Amino acid sequence: MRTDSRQWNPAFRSLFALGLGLVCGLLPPSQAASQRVTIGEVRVMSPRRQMLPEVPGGFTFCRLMYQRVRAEQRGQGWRTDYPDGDRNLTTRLSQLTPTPISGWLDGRPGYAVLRATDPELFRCPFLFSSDVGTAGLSDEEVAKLREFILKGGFLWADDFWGNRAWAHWEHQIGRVFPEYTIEELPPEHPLFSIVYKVKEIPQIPSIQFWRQSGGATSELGVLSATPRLRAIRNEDGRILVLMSHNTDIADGWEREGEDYAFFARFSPDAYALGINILIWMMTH
Amino acid sequence: MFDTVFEYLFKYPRVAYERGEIVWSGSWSPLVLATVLLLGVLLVLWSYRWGRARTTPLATWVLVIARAAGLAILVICLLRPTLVLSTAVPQQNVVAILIDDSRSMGIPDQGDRPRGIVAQETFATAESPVLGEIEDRFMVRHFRFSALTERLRDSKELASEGNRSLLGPALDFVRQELATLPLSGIVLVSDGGDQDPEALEDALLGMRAEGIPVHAVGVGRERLDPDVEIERVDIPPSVIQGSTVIADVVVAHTGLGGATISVNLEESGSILASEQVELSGGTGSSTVRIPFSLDDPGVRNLRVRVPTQSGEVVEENNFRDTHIQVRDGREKILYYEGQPRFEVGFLRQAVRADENLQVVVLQRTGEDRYIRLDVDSGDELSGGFPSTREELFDYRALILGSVEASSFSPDQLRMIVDFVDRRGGGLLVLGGPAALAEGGFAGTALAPLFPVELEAPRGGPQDPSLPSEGSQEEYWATVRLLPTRNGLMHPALRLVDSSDANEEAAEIDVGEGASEEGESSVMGWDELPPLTTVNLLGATRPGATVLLEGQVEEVFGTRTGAGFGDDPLPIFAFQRYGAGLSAVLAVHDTWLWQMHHEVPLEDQTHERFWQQVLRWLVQEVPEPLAVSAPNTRVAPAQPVELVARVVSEEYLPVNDARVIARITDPFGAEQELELTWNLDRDGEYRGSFLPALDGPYEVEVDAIDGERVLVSPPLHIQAGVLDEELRSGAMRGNLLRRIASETGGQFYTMDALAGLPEAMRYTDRGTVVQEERDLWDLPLFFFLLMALLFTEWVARRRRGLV
Repeated sequence: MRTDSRQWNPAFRSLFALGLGLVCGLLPPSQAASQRVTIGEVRVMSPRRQMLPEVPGGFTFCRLMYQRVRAEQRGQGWRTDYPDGDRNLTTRLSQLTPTPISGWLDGRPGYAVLRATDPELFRCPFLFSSDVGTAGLSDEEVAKLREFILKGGFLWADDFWGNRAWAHWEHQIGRVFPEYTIEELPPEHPLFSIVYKVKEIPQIPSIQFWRQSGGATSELGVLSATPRLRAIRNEDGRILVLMSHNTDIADGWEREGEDYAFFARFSPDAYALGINILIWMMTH
Repeated sequence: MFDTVFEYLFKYPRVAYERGEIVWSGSWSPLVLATVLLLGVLLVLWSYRWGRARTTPLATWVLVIARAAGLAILVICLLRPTLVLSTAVPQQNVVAILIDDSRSMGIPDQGDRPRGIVAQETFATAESPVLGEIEDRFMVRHFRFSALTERLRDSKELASEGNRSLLGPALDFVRQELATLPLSGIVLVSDGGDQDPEALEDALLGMRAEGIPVHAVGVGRERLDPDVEIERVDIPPSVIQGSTVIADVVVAHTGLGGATISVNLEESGSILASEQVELSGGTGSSTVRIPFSLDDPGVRNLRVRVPTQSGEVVEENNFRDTHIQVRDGREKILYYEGQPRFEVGFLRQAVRADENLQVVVLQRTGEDRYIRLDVDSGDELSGGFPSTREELFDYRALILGSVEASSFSPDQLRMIVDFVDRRGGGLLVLGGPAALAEGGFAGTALAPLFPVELEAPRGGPQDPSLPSEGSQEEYWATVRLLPTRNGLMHPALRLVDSSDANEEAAEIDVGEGASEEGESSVMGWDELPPLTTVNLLGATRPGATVLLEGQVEEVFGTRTGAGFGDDPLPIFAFQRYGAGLSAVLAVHDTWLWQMHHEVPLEDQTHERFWQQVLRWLVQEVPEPLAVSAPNTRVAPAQPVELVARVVSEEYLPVNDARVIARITDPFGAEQELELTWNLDRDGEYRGSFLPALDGPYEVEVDAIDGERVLVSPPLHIQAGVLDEELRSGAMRGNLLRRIASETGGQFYTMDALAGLPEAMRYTDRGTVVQEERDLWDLPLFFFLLMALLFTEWVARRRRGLV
């Protein structure tokens, strides 16, 4: 497996993630959502729900697990906004639309975490990825992601801020689709109104930043002032990859129950755009 | 042989007894003779009782019966039985000899000589002994017939070149032509080929009514051995370009049982498709289905052909021509999906490349909230699912996704029924949590449409045997879909073009081999990933056809006790309903056939499956104005019957439309023909025209119904020489026997004509006399009497009575 020169030592990366998670209090809250894996003397959290939900028959929110090869401020790699963002959007999707969702036998809605190399990925056409400015994809993952998307899968990359993160992700996704260019999704694109009318792309910061900054939304100041929704489309116009840059849409789902002011300001737009994207993806 | 023995024993031919009447002409009183007979029998009995000491009871009875029977024969002779016959007066009556002059008479199966030549020599030349005998008794009038009938002035006029054999009109012609003459009968010399059975029935009625006997002489062999014939070819009249079509071909054969032959479908000499068929039995027919597809729109003339087999006498019946209209344009299909799910996007993606399919999606996203995809206008479906028939009937097919019955008004449910029943649209119901029984469709107006019975959803309140906790979503099964025998040959499931390859696809992956032949890669059926069903279907309805069965691989959920059994589940089934068809596909994740990790990226199974299914769904959907013709291939001088069917926007028959057929001949000249309403059938208009030229005719029909002006799709008629004449090369003895027997005539073959002139004498027609012929001197009586006396003598001698 080819290793990016910028990749961190996996053990160090896991340790860093554990420490950051402990500091920020963002680790998955219970055994139900995670299991412990021992790396050396340090125990780190690994997602439990790597398989697909036991009860099929509906939409499953699948999150891409990847290796983190660089750090971003406030980013936690693939687990950013996990699992509450995934769970909340899946639940709201079934409440706000007649979409049936899959589920776990313990009653939780259908969300799962998969690697690009998992065969199960090909049973879940929707793939979400967070903090993609830190993602490092192996050659095998690149090939599988390409196959997954070309077969009909859809990738939504979210929560990466500023030019450095963009450049990193642009490089990574460029390895997947070297033949396609990334384009800005114009505001008149029907995706913005397929279910809910979304007038502009909401800039949603992490709730920590929002609190600490006294209500600012651009996590990197002028470097991330403008939220953008970009896409890679194939020759038929089908959106293969959607990228919400300079915004953390998933935080609008994840934090809906933590702060009413945050909810009121960001969650409606986050859900509106999220549901629009999901419905678009399922019907196109 | 039988007739010879009969005539020897009974003095006269069998036909004389059939025609005549037996009467008693003796001067003795029957009462006296009966008394004498009785006394004689008693005397015999008494005489043998007197001598019983030397006989056994059995021997006594043998002697008595033999003697009594001999006495009885004598008494019968004394009664003088007489055969009363009506016979034609020599040279006072006319006999018509009607000789077949069609192409089939050119078949050289009379030895190695053509039928027509043999018929000509036997019935139309002065040297013929048979004709001579007939002419000794009758005035003979010769006629020849094929499509037309005319007097035969010279035997050289017989050329065996007629393109059709019309027996009925020929018999009628002779009957009318000789109506004023004392016609004793008709000799029909033919191989029995007839292309107008209806006219023949009418003609036989006329013959029976006037008592004209038709003596049929069969020319040719009743069994051409060996012979292979394309007996029938069935293909739809029109097809969407690029669709797979199945040509059903019936191959009849004689004497080729066990042989395997190729059946080719050709266009302009090049083979489009070919299938092998093994012929069974000594004589019989086999059906072969040839899948093929055509890309270029327009009329395509096709020929189904089998190679000439060694020793075949008739090669002209080894092929059959047909044509098909390949239509362009987009077929509009409405897909109503009640629950957002991947099936929508993947289905759209699968048919995206198919320019002939327009799948309009109505996706419900909330209470009275919908998104509309691929609509033609901003108004289309703006109110959700169509609320009027006009709106719904604009589509040619309807796909119902996972959408519950309660989302439809009662009238909308009836509209869907009418859509299938009356409009003739195709309905496809997909599986899903809110579909079929799980969607509450059991007991609704829609339920009879489904090709399967709907069972009450398991786990729901309808099933009292189950515990109350839990929800309907807690059961499902993964099923591997395999085609049934019907499915393998069905156009909707033609994953590959060749039927052999499709059967292989049911077992193995034929992707590589198919690619070598230029076809798209497809998975084998048993290699496709299993799908999921939450809908348990009941028994299939009578008349329904199951195309895909699901082998249950896993059953999940807390309600497995009421779940899926081990038997294959009907997953994809359809039935015809009224003018349309209704199908159920009870899975909800066919997209796995596209996405699954075991399915190669380049695999086209999913695309092919959906394109084929949707094309099949709209394939035979009728137009508001349709024109058809019972015969789209006609011979010269054969009229073309046109039938147009006009319906309203709601597909109700319209009887007051003005319907004009525009007929374009092979040179482009156009003529108009007004079709008139057929009083017997609502909405049906008829008319006919006579093609004056050989070649293709195009017929388009305009119907004006108030402010509506409808134009039919074009209908193509091919006029010219047909090969029907040589279809059944063998002599049709059964038909000729029936003609003879129904008219009181006799059937003969060319090698057994000896009795014909004699038989023709016995007739009630024309100038006749009554003849009385004694029967008391029948050789039969003499032989019987001798046999009885000899028997008695032997018996008496054995007992020492002589």
